[in-house]
Amino acid sequence: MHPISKAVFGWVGHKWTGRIILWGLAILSVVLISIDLIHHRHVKQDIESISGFYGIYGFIAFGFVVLMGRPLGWLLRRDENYYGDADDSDGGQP
Amino acid sequence: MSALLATINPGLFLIFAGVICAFMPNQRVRQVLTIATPIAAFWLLSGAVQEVDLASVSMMGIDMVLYRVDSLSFIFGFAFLIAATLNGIYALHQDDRVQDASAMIYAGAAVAATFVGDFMSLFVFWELTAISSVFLILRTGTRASYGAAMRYLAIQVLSGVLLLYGATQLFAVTGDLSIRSLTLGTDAGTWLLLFAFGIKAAFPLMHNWLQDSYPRATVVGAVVLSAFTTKLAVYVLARVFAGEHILIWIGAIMTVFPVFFAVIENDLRKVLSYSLNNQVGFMVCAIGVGTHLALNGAAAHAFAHIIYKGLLFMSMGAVLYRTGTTKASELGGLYKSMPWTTVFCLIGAASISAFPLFSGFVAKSLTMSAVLHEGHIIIWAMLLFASAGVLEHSGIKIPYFAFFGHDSGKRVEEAPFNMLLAMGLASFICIAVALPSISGFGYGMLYQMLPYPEVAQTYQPYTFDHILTQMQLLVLAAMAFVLLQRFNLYPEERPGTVLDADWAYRRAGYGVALWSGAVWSKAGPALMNIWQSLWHRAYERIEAAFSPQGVLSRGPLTGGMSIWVAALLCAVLLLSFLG
Repeated sequence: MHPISKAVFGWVGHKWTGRIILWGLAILSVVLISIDLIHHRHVKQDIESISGFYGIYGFIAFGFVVLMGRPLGWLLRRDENYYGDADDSDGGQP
Repeated sequence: MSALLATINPGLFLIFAGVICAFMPNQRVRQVLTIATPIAAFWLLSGAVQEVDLASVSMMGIDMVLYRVDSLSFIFGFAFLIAATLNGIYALHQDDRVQDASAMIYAGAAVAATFVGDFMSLFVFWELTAISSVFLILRTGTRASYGAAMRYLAIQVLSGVLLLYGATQLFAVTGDLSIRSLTLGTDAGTWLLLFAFGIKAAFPLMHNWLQDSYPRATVVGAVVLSAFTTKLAVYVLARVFAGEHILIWIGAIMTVFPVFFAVIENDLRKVLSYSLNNQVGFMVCAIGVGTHLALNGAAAHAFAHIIYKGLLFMSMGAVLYRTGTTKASELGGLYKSMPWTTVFCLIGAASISAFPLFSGFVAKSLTMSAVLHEGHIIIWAMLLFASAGVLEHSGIKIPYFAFFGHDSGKRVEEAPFNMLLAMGLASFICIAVALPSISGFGYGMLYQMLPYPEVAQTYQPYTFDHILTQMQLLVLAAMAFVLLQRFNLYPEERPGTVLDADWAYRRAGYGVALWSGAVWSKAGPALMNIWQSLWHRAYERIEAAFSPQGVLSRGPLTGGMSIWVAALLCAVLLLSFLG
């Protein structure tokens, strides 16, 4: 391993890292939404005033995009040489 | 001397340096030229008097403005020159004359196009960006890159032709070729211009040249390409069609649909190309809104985007250079051997995802606020959705699958020093223009360069509310990623070709062309045979009737015709006497 990697990213391979990230993010999410519950934000449109709106919207949007990956992949993914021009093939369009 | 230099469009210096590079065998000289010329050009640009025609000529009744600077063109030109300098540094390790020349001329053409004041000059440099940049794709040297380069060239040249046609229409109607604010629909020329700009900006359904060609360009080529073409189109759109409401919807659609393709795409440089498309959507949308705040947003976003997108392409270029691939399914765990590249990629990812303290945050905020301020709720919701999507494909997917994730076992050398230096400088800019403003440093530097600095000065990106909402969006979206990974719901990266709108011409159109070719090769000669036999028969019949040996010339009454004519004349004479 590169010495800089050890110093900067040494924590990545640790067995607790995944859990710490998960719980860290969970706690941060709760904190951010809690602040929203007590703090009165200045809003330009009504929809923004819902507490935690941005967080919930981000969560759903992200989940939706990723989960759509499977059906879309099934629908749109073809063989690598579909157009006959994969780099290691002999054939292909001129 | 300096007075003369001040009247020369800075893009021309770059083009000139590029031409020298094309014939200069000595690598050292080329290295100096590719870095020093953009810096010198910037020095000249910074001294240019604004809002004045600095160079103009009149030719065949057409007034051409060759050099004119104002606050809108300045920030785009400045960003192009920074990109050209960084690209020069990034390419230092390679001794490639064609690539150096191509990159320089291409950058010069984009800069020159930014500072011209009439459509005819714009057309010239518009086409030059296409012709000079195609070599950056061709130099990869594969069959796939050759095909992509030809498609790229055809589509880019088409854009130029439409621009020229639109400009001549405009000239015929108004007699004025100056680049100015136009209203769509006043005449056909305006629609042609919108199509021309739309192709270069990669509007939906006109976008595939981008995802087709950029991932097939060379390591350096993709970095160079990412900076100029689309942002030149954004600049011209802002100049000509600001406030055209159709652009709001085009832009919003452009931010949303690439997100889905980016999720399923395996080639990380192609993911970045979709991401580029999505980012340009934000700018196009802001231009459609057209208020001063929105146009500031478009310009700030373009500036920040040129740097962070270049940075992300640089990091993937470094990965490609060391490992020979950018396919997510073959990468992972590179943080162990390429730590610096990893750090710089993460900075690019944070910038594009608009984390506070990174450039995307201070730039995109302007657009989001402008859209919300004008009451476009649905559009705003689409942009917010796309923002979560950006975090997915550029913020997480790119660094995660390349540098972390499943360890591919690849242990390679860190990127060459010059690549790291270019990435380091780009990272520095991403952070420097985003920090809270302290005595002129920070985002104030960016805001004072915007087209409407007085409006920008009153805008505060770092309010408590704004940081809170943005962090909510990003943290909970990241939370969604971690949960999806934990429950194995994140789709596996798989090799494959993902179909997009280019299927229409690469498969269906190409198929129809092949089919019609095959049909014509058989039907053509058959049709010719039928035609020839028909003609032959008709000729024989005519000959049989009218030739000296024909039916009409035979028999006892050879002179019958003249007798009949004489009889007819007599009848006419008689009738006229009687009448």
